[in-house]
Amino acid sequence: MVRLTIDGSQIMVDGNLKVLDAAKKLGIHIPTFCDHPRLSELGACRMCLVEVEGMGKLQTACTLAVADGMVVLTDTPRVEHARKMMLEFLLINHPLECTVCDASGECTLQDFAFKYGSAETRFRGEKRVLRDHIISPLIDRNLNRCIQCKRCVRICDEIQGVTALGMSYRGAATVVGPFMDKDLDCEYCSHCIWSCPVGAITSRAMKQKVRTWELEKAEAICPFCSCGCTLLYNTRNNIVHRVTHAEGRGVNQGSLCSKGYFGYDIINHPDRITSPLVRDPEGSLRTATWDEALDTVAGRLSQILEESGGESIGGIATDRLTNEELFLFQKLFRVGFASNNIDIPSGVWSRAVLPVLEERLGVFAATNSMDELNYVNALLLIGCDITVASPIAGLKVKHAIQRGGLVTEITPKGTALSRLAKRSLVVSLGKELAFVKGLIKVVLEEGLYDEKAVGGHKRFSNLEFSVKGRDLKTIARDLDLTVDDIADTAREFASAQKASVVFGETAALQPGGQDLINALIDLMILTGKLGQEGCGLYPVITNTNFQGAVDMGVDPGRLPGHVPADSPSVRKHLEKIWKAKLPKAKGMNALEMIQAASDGSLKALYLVGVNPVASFPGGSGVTEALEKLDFLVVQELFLTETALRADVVLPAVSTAEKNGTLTSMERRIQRTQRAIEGVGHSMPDWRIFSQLGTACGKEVMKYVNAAEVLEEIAEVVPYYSGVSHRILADNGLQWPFSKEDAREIYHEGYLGTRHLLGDGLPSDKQRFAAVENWETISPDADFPMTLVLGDLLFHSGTFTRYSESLNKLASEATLFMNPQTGIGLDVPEGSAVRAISAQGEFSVRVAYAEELAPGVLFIPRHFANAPAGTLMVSTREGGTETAVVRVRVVKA
Amino acid sequence: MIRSAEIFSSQEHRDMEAIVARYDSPASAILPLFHYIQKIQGYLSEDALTFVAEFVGVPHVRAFEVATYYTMLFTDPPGRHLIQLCRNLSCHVNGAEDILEKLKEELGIQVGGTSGDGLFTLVEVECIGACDLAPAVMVDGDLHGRVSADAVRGILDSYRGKA
Ligand code: SF4
Ligand code: SF4
Ligand code: SF4
Ligand code: FES
Ligand code: FES
Repeated sequence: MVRLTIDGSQIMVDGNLKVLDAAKKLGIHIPTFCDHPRLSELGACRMCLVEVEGMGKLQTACTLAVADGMVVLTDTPRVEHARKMMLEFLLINHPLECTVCDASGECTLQDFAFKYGSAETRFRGEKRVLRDHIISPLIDRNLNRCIQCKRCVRICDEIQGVTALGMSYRGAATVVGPFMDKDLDCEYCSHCIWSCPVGAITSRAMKQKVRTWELEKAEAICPFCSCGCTLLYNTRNNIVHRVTHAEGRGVNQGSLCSKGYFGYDIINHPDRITSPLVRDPEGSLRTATWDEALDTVAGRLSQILEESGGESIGGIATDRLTNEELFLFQKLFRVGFASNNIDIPSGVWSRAVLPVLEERLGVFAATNSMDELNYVNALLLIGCDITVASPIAGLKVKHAIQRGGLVTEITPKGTALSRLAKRSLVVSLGKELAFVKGLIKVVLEEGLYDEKAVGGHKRFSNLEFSVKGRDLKTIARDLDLTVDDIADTAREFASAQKASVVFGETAALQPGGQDLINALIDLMILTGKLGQEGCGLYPVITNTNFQGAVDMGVDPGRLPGHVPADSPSVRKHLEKIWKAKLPKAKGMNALEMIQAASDGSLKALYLVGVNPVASFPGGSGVTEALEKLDFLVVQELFLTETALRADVVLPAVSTAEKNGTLTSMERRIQRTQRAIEGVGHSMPDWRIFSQLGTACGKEVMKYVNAAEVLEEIAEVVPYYSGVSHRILADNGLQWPFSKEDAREIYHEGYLGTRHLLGDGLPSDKQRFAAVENWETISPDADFPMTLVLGDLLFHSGTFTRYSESLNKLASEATLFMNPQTGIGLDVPEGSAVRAISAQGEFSVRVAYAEELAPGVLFIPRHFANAPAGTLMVSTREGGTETAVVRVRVVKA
Repeated sequence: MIRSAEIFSSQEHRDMEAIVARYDSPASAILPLFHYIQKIQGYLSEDALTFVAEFVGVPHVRAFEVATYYTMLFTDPPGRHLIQLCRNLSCHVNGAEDILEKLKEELGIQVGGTSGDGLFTLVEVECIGACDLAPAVMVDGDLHGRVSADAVRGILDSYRGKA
């Protein structure tokens, strides 16, 4: 700590701080342009000049380290003169077009010119006019407004790790822009817009639509993925005009991705459904009142319940809903319709993946926090394009790399991290298991395991036996890697103090993915990488409130808190509170419901924010199944392909229009608050469920607001016991937490449990699965290739199809393949092919991508021109191929 | 990715490897590589910049920054003759501005441009060490001192004849 004096006030600060920070602590404002809290220091703009006793020249406060006894003056005539001069220099070239500039009202140059009273410059001559052009459909550049502070260039490099922008040419002609002055080809994270202190980089999406000072800002949680970013909706007259960054707030500390920043145009989209619709006897959907619509739904469902029983009614709700809503959804079904037929579209994770974690580790979630990824020394990324699947977690991995963390990526397809990671190993789908077993083999043979962790293990020899079958050379050759690729990865992982494993959809949801997860868990137990800071196992499940949905019990086989539906004690407890008999038998999952609809045993289906016609396995079979139903209710924002087939359509609202809580991928329960009133006559989903339940005669479904639902959650949902708005107030809370927990502050304001298994692995879990297979995907001669149905960075499911902005970045699917694969199939780039799976087929254009493993194909699943569901395979026996599908490709 | 073989001969590739080998960190070789490529190809094409960036392991835009910072590096094919006009102090006070205007007018181009006939590229430079002869202009390797606006056409003509 050092003591210094600034403008006569003394302060003790950390010796690593700069004078600028110390002044901030004293509440003394020093003007800056190039300094930014998220960036390294630069000292380029010289706006922050201060006088320091004993130093002749004025000093830049943003780069000057504090020192004991230092005496600083920030407000002297000399300082003021210098600042005025700097402004004058900037104003030589700045066009001063504040009247048409979107940054007006938030522009640092404008503020300082106003403060220092100098909108003029004494320097004469023509203002610089730089040749400029439109560089992107969403990000506008205006070179003449640029004050060359380099913040955009630095943030794109230091925070986003993309380095799409540079400062080219020199002197007054310096321009900020992409390589070769071309169009911007980047992640559209919006950091550059955020960082620009003037109007030189702005969002084209809000270009000259509204003045910044007319906007009100409301903090909320982003609806597009499970990172759970905090953002600010900027509204005026009940319209969301833009999103801005909530600096220093939330897990994202202000950062956003393209979806969070640009995807808001869904909210006030002109195609939103604004009132309930009921199908009239002639067969067309017509506008109805809420009373009429709810009475129809309650009446029909009650009738079907009476005639055919609860088993004949099912519901599927999107995991974008709030916890309160998901809680009421399952309560409505269990209490109102005596049915366990409830699911979310991503239920495959809660049935095929999380049970493995539950069985092996006793946890039903990712073990560690996103923040810990910032500091890992070694990281294994398997089948997870983390920049796409979980953009903010991806940023943390990029930062770990900047800090020297050794990241090894095992992927069927190059990713944004490939350039940055220590190693990016392109491995064919189904062969990742051999790689992981290779790691285990090296750890065992070189004695790199953790003695303490494996000491009591009975099945240690089994593990050794399971990796005996192949030697390292053979494994490497088969994977087209070197022995060192495997051995070094194993050594780095085992010896790192903080080592974590992140796996994604293409690893977990491939046929046989459970073996792979089991092998990964074996590796972690063997090397003692569990239950500590920085040592975690992260399944990356992108769906926004997936965790909340499983916690709330939206699952055919589990009650709130992941409790099996047939658990007598918990059921009894709930029955008492809910004053109803709860169904015992396991219900149907989403795919089984569609199947049951098609064979006539399911009579009524209630779909909330899901669009099976576009995204469920089965292609046209899904449409046919829905048409066989006696009654279909769709609760939606838009008239989707599915909603068009409904008997009743109920207009719901987006996250911006409701209050509630969401639980992110790191078990963080966060509060999100309404920014605008629901458009038209739309209602929040929780209110619809509540009114419907009441209309069905269930008094226990009556609530006045979402807060009241949370009170009940705090009472009946394990892990959420005692949760309240008060303890969620600042950045939320990570379950599990005790009442005392919730009052204390851990880790820079993080509340709750940062990582699970802190007391070590339960003794009954200390054993190895010792997977015997070497490959997960068994070859199929009819369908010799594997197709990844994946995500693009710019979209979230089929929901963001309604964002005009995001559609400007991508709006159509192409099938990506390795050029080698393409030549083998004789399909030149750009030509059309038919992709055929055991389920169905579609035709689509081909694009070549070098960074794909041979025999692996990739297609985004967001777009109507290639409906992913057509190819997904689902069998009655429970086998599904939803993310990784075996296909064959032929010329169209 | 740009494959070296698409734009360089194998000898050239070996030369560039040798250049990189002279430096502790490959990124330090970026300027020498640019000079080498400009010598053999006349300018730094997009492919060449992409190749160099990947060859030394820097983001593409970083290579572009370097290439555009130095006036003696070209990212467009230059004309047959390079006119370097000094804009530093001595030359400035001795009338470099007039010469510039005259050059722009004669060639019908702006600074950094190449004349329509492909003969001349005009760039501005800082002090070329001929202050005693200010204002000074360098065409290719030749120094022209105490240039006046009236003399500009004659100088240009003397190159128009040459190959
Ligand atoms: S949007 Fe993000 S990735 Fe693109 S240029 Fe700006 S900072 Fe870089
Ligand atoms: S565009 Fe904005 S952020 Fe970038 S250098 Fe110019 S003024 Fe600074
Ligand atoms: S990372 Fe996820 S939560 Fe954050 S802004 Fe992007 S989509 Fe939203
Ligand atoms: S803020 Fe200190 S030099 Fe720019
Ligand atoms: S100032 Fe022109 S040559 Fe030195």
